[in-house]
This record gives sequence, C-alpha cells and structure tokens, in this order.
Amino acid sequence: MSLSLVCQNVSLYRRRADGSERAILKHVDATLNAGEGAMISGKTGAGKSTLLQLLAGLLRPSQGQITANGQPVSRWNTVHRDIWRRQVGIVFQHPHLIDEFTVLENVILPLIPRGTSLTQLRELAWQALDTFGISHLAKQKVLSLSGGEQQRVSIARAIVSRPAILIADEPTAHQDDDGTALIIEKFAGWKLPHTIVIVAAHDPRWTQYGKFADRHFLLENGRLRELQ
Amino acid sequence: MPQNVVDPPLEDTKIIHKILSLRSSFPLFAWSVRDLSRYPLETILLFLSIVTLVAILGTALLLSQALSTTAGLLLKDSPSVVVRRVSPLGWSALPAEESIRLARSVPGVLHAGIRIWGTANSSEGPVTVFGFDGSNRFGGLTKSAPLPKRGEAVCGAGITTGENPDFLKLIGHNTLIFRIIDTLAAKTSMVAHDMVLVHPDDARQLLGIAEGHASDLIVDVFHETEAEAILPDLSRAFPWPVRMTTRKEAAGIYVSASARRSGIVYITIFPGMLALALIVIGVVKGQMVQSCNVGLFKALGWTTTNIFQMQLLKALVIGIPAVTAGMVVSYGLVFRPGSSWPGYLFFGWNDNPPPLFLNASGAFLVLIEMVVLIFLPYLAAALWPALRAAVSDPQDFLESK
Repeated sequence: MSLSLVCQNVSLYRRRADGSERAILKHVDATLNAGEGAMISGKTGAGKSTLLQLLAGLLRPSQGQITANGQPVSRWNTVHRDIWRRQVGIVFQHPHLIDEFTVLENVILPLIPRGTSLTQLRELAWQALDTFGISHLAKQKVLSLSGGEQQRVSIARAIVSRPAILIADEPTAHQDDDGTALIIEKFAGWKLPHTIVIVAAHDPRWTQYGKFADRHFLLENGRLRELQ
Repeated sequence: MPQNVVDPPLEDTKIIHKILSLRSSFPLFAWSVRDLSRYPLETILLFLSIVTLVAILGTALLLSQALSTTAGLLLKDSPSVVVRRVSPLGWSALPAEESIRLARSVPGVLHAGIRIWGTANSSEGPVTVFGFDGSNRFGGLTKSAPLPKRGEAVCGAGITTGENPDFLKLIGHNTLIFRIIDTLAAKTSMVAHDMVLVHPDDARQLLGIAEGHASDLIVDVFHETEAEAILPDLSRAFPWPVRMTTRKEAAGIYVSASARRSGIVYITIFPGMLALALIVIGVVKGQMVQSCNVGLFKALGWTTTNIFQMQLLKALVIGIPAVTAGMVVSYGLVFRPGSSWPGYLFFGWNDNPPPLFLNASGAFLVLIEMVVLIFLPYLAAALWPALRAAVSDPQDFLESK
C-alpha cells in the first residue's frame, strides 16, 4: 500500500500561565502522499514547528488525529509511537546535536538501536556525511562547527536511517546560497515513490528553485491552507 | 483535551520490535561502553565506590557467616553436657572410673566418658594439652589424627615449636619434650588451633593429674532437649559438687561473645557505608544528568526499550565487575591464608591465626545478600530515572534543552 499521511481536524491547545487555553493549531486538515514534497510556510510563531512535531509523533494533538496508511498513529500509546517515530527522520529548527559526541557519533545515533551491524552502521553514516559534503568533519566535536555545519550534521542524522517520512524545520536557516541549493537539491532527490518529505521554511528559495515543493501550504493563525 | 489512546492493529510491530531489540544488543553494548568512556572520572569513581562498598559490607557479612559456620562445626561435635568437679580452690580432677559409673546410672545418659586436658606452656606461649587415646573424642576434628604414643605429640595448626620443628617442649606441672608426629588438618584449626594431642599418661604427668583421674566428664544424651532435664539427676548422682555446662549454654556463651564483637564492627562500618552509598547515589544521579538526552534519542527513533537496555548495559558494565572485585577483596580479607585480623578481632589471637572457613551454602547466602543489599538498589538507582524519562513524551525533554 502506498504511504499516505493525513491530518484530520487536528487542533492543539497550550495552557497559559493564567490557566486559560490558547489554540496553536486549529482544525488542520491535510493529506500527503508518497512521492510528494510539501512545503509549509508561515510567519514566525504561526505553529509550523508544532505541526511538524505532531507529524513526527513528538506531540499528541488535543483534537483530531493523524493517520499513516489509515492507522491513527497520533493516538497510539507511548510504546507504539516509539515505533512510529522509527519511520520518521526529523531535522529540528535548532540542530539539537549532542555536544560531547563527535559529528560521526551524532549521525550514527539513530542507527544504534536498529540492529544494524557496526560496519554497516559506519558505512551509512559516512554516506550521509558525504551527501552533505561534511565527511571531513566526522571526527570533530560538534561544538567546534559553525551553525551551517551543525545544521548539515543534523540533516545527515535525519536521513541516515533512510526514513519513510522526512520532516525538516527550517533546514536552510544557517546556509549560504550554495549550501541552500545543495540541501534543496538533496531534499528533492529524497522524494521517492515510498517517501514523503515535509519542510517548514520561510526561505523563498525552497519555492524559487522549483524542484522540491510539489505542494505548498500556508499556516496562518493556526489554520493551514494549501496554496495553488 | 486528552484523547483516547488506541493500540495499533499491527501486531507484527511487537514481534519486529522484539527481534530488533535482540539484534541491536551488540551495537547498544558498544555504544554503552563508549558512552561510559566519555566520562572516565565519574565512571572510575562509581566503580571504586561500589568496589569499596561491597568489600566493606561483604567482609562483615562473610565474617559473620564464617563465624556462624565455625560455631555450627564446633557445637555439632561438642558433648551434650560437660561435668567438672569444683572445690574451694577451683576446678579439681575427678576420679575417672567412678565418675563414668555414676553418670551412666542416671536415666537418659547415652554415653559417658572422661577427658584429660589442661594448659601448659611452650616456648611460644600457652597451649592446650589434650590426652588422646582414641576412645575419648574432641569432636570429629581429631578423627584423622594418629594416636600418639608416650613421648609423641600431634599439634594443632597454630602451634609453633621454636628452633627445632620436630620437637616440642612443654612446661606444666612437669616439663616434657615431645616428638611431633603429625599436625592436625588446617580445617580443624578454628577449634584445634592451639591444641597438642599427647598420650593420656603424658597429659596427666604434664598437667599434674593423678593416675585414674580426669579433667572433666562428658555426657551425651539421646536428644538435645534431654540435656537440661537430666541436670538435677546428674548433679545428685555425684558425691562431690559439680559444675555442668550444656551444649546450649556453650553455644550461648560463644554466640554472645561473637555477636558483641560483630555488633561493634557493624556500628563502625555503618557511617562508612552511608558515606559510600551517598557517593554512589551522587555519581548515579550525575550519570542520569548525562542521560537527559533521552528525549532526543526518542525523537531519533530510540524506543523506551532501547533506552532501558542502554542504561541497563551501562549499569551492568560498571556494576558486575565492581561487585565481583568487591567480593574478591572481601573474600581475600577474610579468607586469605595468613590473614590475621579476623582472629585478632573476634578471638584475640595475636599470632599464627587460624583461617576461617565457609561452606558453599554460606558463600551463596552472602552473595545473595550482596546482590539484594547493593546490586539491586544500584540497578534501581541507575534505571529508575532513565525509565521514567523513557516512557515520557520526548517533546518535554527537547523543550528543556
């Protein structure tokens, strides 16, 4: 069965300090299918990161549900949502790398519990680093890297396990033109018959380069609408 | 508004999960070791803390267990009742044949025999001299000892002879020189540590006991509980005043003396243990702080089981060698040949101490005690925070970073 990811009337509320609730996302409906690249844009604070975290299984919606191939993954219990997250590669807005680890160790991290042999595990990690031109940094501690390099390490970590769903939050925020072009090209290349790629970005180059975004969504005031 | 949680219909995910868990053990193990090596100081400190804690507690428990085993051995072979004749001057020898005859006349007495023993001086200090002709017994401990003829001696493991190792000079009522024909087995040394077995006639001569007389009378009864019951009859049977000691009384004296000394040891080590426990808790908590990346791990596809496995492996990589090393140290402290402090502490022996012994069940019991007292709390301390973190939503951890 072809992969599909569906948001059905998804809302998320956060409790304020005074006890009242604020809606971050309101009645979001969207369907994404395998082979598609989706871009979500919107102003800062519009809820893009929150939506991505919901799709990645890091948060549960307050209302509605997210289904994958018809299964309500957002309503699964903790143990099963752990398994769901194995299908997802995520690039955070902040790289969230572990300072004590080297670049290679950070990239290897998602592979450790997946039963991959140590040799294969290293091969996959080197491939991921090569993809983004940072294999020469493999032995360095992440603290010594620039923001752009850290971001590329974070992307390499997200793709190393060959996830079915790749979710990225502002993956080119710290990149120069060449770096941005490279990342958009790689993300476009990641659109395969069995994968879905979702990117949240302000950067207009994601649409200008034209290779990646098959669908473009705009998130405003917690509501999502698709731009034609 | 919270939503209902549902189970996925994909039953195979559970099976796949289990298979993955098994297959993933080696990379997880390698990762755990690598993770520990990132914090060498904390790892070494934790290791040493556990080793010390196990060594201290293990030593106390092993000593206690070994003393209990030894007491059991001692009491198993001791007579039901020991009868000694008392006089205004203290102990005095009792007529052997008459004493046996009188004791046997008491209903309930199964066996009566005499012992000839007392203390004499050797060149290295006082020894216990025992007249040994095979008919009497000093427990099963002398079972394998050869019968000494006149002028011969069989020595306990703690007897030192001075310049000439083949001969022993003893000074008592008289002075006699014995040729040493054998040494008692090392395992008897807790009881026969300072004992010298000689011919009964030599013993009498050395100790100044008249012909046909003995130091005391030993009486056996069919059942332990009968010993106290026959004491009044036994007392009345002798025409002279006697002092009788049952096996139970002997055990009480022995146990209370040991317990008093053990209690002092436990009181001494308690603050030390408490301090070490605090160190262990501190280091474990430190490790938990390092594992605050749990939320990130989960976001990257680690399951609760994986995180639990990793923490378990990390705890075991330190814990198993540390507990093993601690046990080896404590066994060495207590049972190493020549280790003198247990004998000094518990029995006041100053030189050539007897080794302590432990049977298999006693050793196993101590091992179980160590596991329950130290290893399980350590594992719980190492795993509980990680487990709590691992079952939570990863977003909370990511937001706190």
